[in-house]
Amino acid sequence: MDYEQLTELIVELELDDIADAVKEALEADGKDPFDILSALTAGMDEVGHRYDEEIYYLADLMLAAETMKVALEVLKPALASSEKVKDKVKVVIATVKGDNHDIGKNLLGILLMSEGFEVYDLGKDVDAEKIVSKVKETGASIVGLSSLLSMTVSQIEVVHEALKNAGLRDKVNLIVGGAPLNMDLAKRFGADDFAEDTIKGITHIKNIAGI
Amino acid sequence: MPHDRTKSVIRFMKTLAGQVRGVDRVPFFAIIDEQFISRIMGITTREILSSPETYANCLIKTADFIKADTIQIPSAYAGPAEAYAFAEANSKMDSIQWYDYKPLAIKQGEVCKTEEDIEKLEIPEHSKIDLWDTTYKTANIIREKTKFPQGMGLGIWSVVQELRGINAFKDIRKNPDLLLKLCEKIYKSQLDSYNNWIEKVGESPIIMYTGYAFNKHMMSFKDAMKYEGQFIKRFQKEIKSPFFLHNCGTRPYFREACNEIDFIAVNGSHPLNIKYWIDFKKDFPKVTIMGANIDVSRELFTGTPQDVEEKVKENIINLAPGGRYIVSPICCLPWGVPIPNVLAIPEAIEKYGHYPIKGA
Repeated sequence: MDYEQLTELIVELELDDIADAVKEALEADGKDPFDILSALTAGMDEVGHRYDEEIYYLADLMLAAETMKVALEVLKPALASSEKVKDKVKVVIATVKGDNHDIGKNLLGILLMSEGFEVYDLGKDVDAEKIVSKVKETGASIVGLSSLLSMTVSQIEVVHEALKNAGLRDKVNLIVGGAPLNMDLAKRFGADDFAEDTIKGITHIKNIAGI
Repeated sequence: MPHDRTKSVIRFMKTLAGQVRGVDRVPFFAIIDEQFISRIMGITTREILSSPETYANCLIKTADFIKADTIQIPSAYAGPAEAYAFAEANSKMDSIQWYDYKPLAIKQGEVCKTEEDIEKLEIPEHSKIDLWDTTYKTANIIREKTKFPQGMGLGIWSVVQELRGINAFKDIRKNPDLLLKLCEKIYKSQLDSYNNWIEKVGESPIIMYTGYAFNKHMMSFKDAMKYEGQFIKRFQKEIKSPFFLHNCGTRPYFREACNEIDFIAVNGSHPLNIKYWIDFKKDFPKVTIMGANIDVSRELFTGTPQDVEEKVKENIINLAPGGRYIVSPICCLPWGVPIPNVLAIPEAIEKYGHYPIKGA
């Protein structure tokens, strides 16, 4: 199993074959888990590119994310025990209070994990206190919030204020996404950044993290 | 001055149909849901829905307050209210969440979590669903009080997302037959809601079709036709009323959809470039534009009344000459939108929207 084949399996959304392929690369071929991760991530980058080009759509992104998730489950123990293990950038993600839409947020979480971030997904309909508490507990440097409803976008400001009151606001980057939002509105609610879709969200977060 | 509702009905329906004679000015269509109604009326969502009389009264007063030319019932459109019907019919009401100052919501994906859930999914009888009963009665009260004909809404994919959640997108690739089975059940359910509407309220003069699949973020146009478009064509064989396509997504397939399906109008705010809409009007002269680039998250939310006036003016001057243009901010008026900005819309229409359009 060479690296190109692993990349290809992600690009071609081969959910049923990926686990065996990663196992083979690790066990039979004795490949470095971080090199395997790089090959898989290259596949996700290509998936993102195809999404931008309108060759792939949300359904394909979902499947790619699912394929990546399966691959990571196989790879995780090897990555953890590797001598190369390094500190990961921690990201807390959530759908804001009052909003039950989590498709985009879930996808972001999986894609972030595949990019090597340590992700704390708090779910949907999450209040500001819970987000602040998770940031405190984990020392996360990035908070990603999703709001798909016009009536819940103002919750971003509530989170921004709660982080400020907890003395954490200058320690975290607050990035937001969701259909009713745009950069002006995001800034108005105190966010640092806005991404118009999940793929752009990944790019923005990687930029923030300096990756 | 009291709202002249007869004039409103004439200007809205004639503009939709592309008639220019007898239309005094550009109509104003606003999508108003419980978040805005509760703000204007000062009562909670449960109170709004507590009786058909209260619900109707709130809708009429809110529409009058912002001088809208139409009155729509938010629970008559596909989405949460239809998901509510499925939840009730399948004893999954614990998936429904009520809020004080916004519409009820369903926990997405809870009703059809598994394949078995879809196989066993019961199609709701709308006459037995309390929310729909209230909706039908409310429609009758509004029609009687205001002489406004009341229309209803349909939409397959919006309900798929509510019932199946994130799994629906995986199903597109991994389990298309199962997904079509769910679409088929939603289709049957919506025919039931429509037939009840005919029986209890009367003809729906127009169908607001919420076509969320028609968005490039979601799926290819081919898939959008498979999971939404083919059902619209089937609805149109059963229902003689004209359909308008609502899509509040940021990358809608308006052009593609209008090439394939007969829509009397499109209702959306994207793309934001006015040139897209000018070209759309040229290429689809028989399709009324409701909205164009008036996005509730932009000028209306963060701007001033002057900004809103400029935006409405830009749309009227470019799109209203010759008719077939309706001012419509997209989508629902948000809770936090400054009221003076909302009121700037009818003021701008009054200033720039009388026929013949000046400055065009």
